Amino acid sequence: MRGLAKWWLWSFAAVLAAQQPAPEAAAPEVVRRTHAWSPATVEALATLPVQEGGRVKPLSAHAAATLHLVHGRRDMKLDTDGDGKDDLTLTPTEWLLDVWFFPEVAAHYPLFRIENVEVLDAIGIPHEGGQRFRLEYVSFAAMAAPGRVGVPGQKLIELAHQYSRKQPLDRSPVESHLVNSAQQVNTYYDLHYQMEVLRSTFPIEGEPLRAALGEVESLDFAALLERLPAFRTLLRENSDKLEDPAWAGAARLGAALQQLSGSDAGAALFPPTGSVGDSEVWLGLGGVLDLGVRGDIAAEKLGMVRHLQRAIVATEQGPRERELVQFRDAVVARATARGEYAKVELENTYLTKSWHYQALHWFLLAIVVVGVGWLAPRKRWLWALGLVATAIPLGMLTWDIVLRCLIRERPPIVNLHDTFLFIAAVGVAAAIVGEVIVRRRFVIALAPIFGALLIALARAFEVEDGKDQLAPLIAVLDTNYYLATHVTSINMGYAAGMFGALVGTLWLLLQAFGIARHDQAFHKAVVRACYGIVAFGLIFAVFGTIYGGVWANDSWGRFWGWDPKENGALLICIAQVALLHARWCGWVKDLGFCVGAALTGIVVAFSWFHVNLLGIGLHSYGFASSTKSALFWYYGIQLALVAVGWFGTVMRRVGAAAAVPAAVPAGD
Amino acid sequence: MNGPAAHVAPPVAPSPLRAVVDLLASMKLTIVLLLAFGVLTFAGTLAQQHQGLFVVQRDYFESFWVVWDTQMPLPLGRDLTLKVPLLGGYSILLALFVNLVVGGVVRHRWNWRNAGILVAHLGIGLLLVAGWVKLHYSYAGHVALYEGKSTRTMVSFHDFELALLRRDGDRVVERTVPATAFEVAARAPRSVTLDAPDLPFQVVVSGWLENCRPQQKGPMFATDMPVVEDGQGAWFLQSVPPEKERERNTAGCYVTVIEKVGRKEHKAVLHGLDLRPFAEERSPFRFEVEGTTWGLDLRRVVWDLPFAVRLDRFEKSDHPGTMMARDFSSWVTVFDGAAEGRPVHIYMNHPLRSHEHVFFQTNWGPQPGSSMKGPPWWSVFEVAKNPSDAWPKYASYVILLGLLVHFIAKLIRFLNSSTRRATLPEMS
Repeated sequence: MRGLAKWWLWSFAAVLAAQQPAPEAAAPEVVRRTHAWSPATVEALATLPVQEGGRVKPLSAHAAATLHLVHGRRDMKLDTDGDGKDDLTLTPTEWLLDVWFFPEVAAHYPLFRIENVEVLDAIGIPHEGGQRFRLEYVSFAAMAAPGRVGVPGQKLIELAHQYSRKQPLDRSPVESHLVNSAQQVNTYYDLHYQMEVLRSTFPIEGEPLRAALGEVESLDFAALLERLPAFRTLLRENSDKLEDPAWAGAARLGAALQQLSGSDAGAALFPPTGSVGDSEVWLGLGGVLDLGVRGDIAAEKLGMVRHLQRAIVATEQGPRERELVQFRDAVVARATARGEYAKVELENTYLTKSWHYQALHWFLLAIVVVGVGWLAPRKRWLWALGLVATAIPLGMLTWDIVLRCLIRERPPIVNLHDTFLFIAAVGVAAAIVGEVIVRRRFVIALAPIFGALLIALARAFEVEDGKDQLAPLIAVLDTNYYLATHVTSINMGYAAGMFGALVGTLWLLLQAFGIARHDQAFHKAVVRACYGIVAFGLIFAVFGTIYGGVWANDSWGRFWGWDPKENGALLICIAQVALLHARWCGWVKDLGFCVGAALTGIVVAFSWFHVNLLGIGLHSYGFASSTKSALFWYYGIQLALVAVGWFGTVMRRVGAAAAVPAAVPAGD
Repeated sequence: MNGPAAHVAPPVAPSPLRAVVDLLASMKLTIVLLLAFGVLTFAGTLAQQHQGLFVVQRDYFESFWVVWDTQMPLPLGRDLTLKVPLLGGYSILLALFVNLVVGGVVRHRWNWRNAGILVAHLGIGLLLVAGWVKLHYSYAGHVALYEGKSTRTMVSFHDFELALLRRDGDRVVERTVPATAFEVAARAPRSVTLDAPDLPFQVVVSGWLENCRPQQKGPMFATDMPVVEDGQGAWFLQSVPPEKERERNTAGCYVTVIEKVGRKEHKAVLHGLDLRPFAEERSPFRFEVEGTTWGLDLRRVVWDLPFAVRLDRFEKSDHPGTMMARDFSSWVTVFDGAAEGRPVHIYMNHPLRSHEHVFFQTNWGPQPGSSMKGPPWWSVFEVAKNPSDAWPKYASYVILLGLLVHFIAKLIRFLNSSTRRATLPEMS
């Protein structure tokens, strides 16, 4: 049992290590940031509803997904005093507000994550040192500054355009990096200039234009919007005079407005005036201008534009924040009237509370509690405390999943990110039940590690993927019935497969290192638990796989198409059925069964993620190419553990067999 | 050794029949077949990266055996090419079915303790039978319709046919030959002659290409392919490597129509290129023999439907502010007896099932970014005829029931067992 406690501490350290951020080799750029957003304003703006990616969401969610995409992190760390150390951390909402309201400052933030100096060389950004794989954060300003091969950002876009003609699987790592970086720069570019039109003034040149729009030299965006009906009338009544030099100003203004009208990028900030039934599509500033040109802009929307514009041009932080909050309140009022705000607050609360992240910490605590329980194995209250310590984060994780269901009005799993959280919850819940049955402490010992690792992976995947994880579904997935049956079932099969692999590996290592070797009942209990988990997994894997075929039969016209994802699920079923049959017919004993269960983990990982990386098939709604290296690491580690466990166990048995005759007295 | 000699019965060799039955019923055979199936599935999955789904399905999963051509990366950037012979999916699943029936059902002990396993095995057997029926007795294609238009034919995704057409009053009389009947024999440099006693001509098919592009021959370049001149210029077929997605292939061939009287020849280049999805809108090669105008067309196989379908209305909606489709669906009228027809709404995951045919909403057009703009819209349905359409659903219920019965019974037995109680640790 002491051996187990030692092993326990190593596991805890491994989980802690997985939580540490990756080392950053390059010192961040010194940033001259002289402003600060008040917490109240940031809190209010976090719940500003915006429409992006086909749904209305809080600004905090939009900011977080965008920061994940362009920065590859959940926050923005800045070195504002030049000492080479980060001294300020911005939340995604603060970062987005900086980009919108202080773009010239935000342009110097260390933003684009470059992981290969060949990429820097290709776009002409100077760097120190020759290490090939080194992490650097490059600012937008550096991307825009002319270098030795021209403007790096422009060069990046050119190269990306060239390489994007290749199939993703045919690109080299550097080419893939360039294509991804170009997407990040494009996204940021749109964000950087999203509010530019509100900083602009439009010259009012020529007598006819001044007579129609007022005797002014120029107009800002909001003022121009007010006068657009008059401008439209002017143009309509004098269309034949636009070639006249006296009308050149009017012609130029018309051309500028035509260019800006309807051209929107980034999140839409202005809800339509009517109900959802009239129009679901929110507008950006280009869309608002388009309404103005058509003489269809409501006073309410004009008021929103004014508030936002005043906030943009304000020179002091106080008035800026006041106008911004008024803008937010106006948008919230309209969104509420349209029935689109109810989920925004809930989603922001979900993001703020981040129950699964809290659960991660509680799982880490549970690892310690369960570990302490190993030191006093006969204390029932310590055993019960371990169960409770594991059940608390399970409750948090379950609540997190429930909130996601409520926000999306969907079953628990609709994308790859969801699978991590769901599998973690199912695995831990099953482990608690299993522990109550066998009461040997090893199942409950694995549960918090399993939960913590999967939540950590979910968070890493979220940042890596850089997408909205609550995004609406493509048409073929729009069926809560099959999402609730097939998807849930198959993921319970994944959960059991992975947990079974963990238990099988545990048994192998216990045997190989002779841990608790005198407690044969304990070792038998581990094998029985492994068997039970594999059997549990088989039920869900088989039903989920076949029911996936039933879904495919209703949506694609065939039950089985040998698609990679289908094949992956089939491989899990085959592995588990073969293993159970081998056990039943006596072909494998405890050792063989645990080796098989441990290897099934590789099959599950292949089905769960690897088939998505093949770039083929109909299940093309969850690709994340850089997950590949993580998968190969897992395969390697799992194979190594199985090899060590098997070899150690066999050697121990050989040793034990050799020792038996020596112990027998001569002559017997 | 001095005791009475024990009477030991000599071992009786099992009869050959018994030995075969024992082998077929063996659980070890099950495991071997399952492992072979696992390797095949893994190999077939990886092979799809290079060969595409259709070819892999045919060569790996519907065949008796296959050679897995794979490359293993070696140090110094070299690859080792391996050719591994594997049992094909057809052989494995057939053997598994026999093994399942003999060992898993017939010879299994029929008692309550094994009830769950027996039920699960029956469900798996039903699933395998459904797959076999699907493989041999089903076909699939598509139908594309503009709003207001109707049809009673469907068009194959993959397969081509040579159609001989003759106008007879208001109707067109068709006579077709599937390409599978001549495509291998008609590859260059060979040719195939198609003949029928009642036809005044023969058709010689040559230069068959699985995938090609029809090209107009210009004066500035040469080609190894035959060039055929018609009233609009000189044409030849440019060979193109087959696509991974086989439905993207355009088959092509050269035909020479030789009149039986006078041996006059009419030459043409035929190809299956169509403005998808409207494969039926085609202009065949026309020629005249003995005062009758004939048409010859190489097209995707056309099947008759047992009923007519009219697309009344198509609707689609996008997620707001995006071009990502949230939903698309069609309202059709099915004419299968009643003169006025019956209205049916077909939408994602809710197909139309009628007369052993199933219509699935699969696509629409014009798509965003294409040169055409909607409205008018057209709707595309995948159409499948599969006698075992619903069997897998029933099989899944049966298997689930069997597994639940078996493992729950096993869990209950374990919970009540003295073994478990004996292994519970002492705690205070």
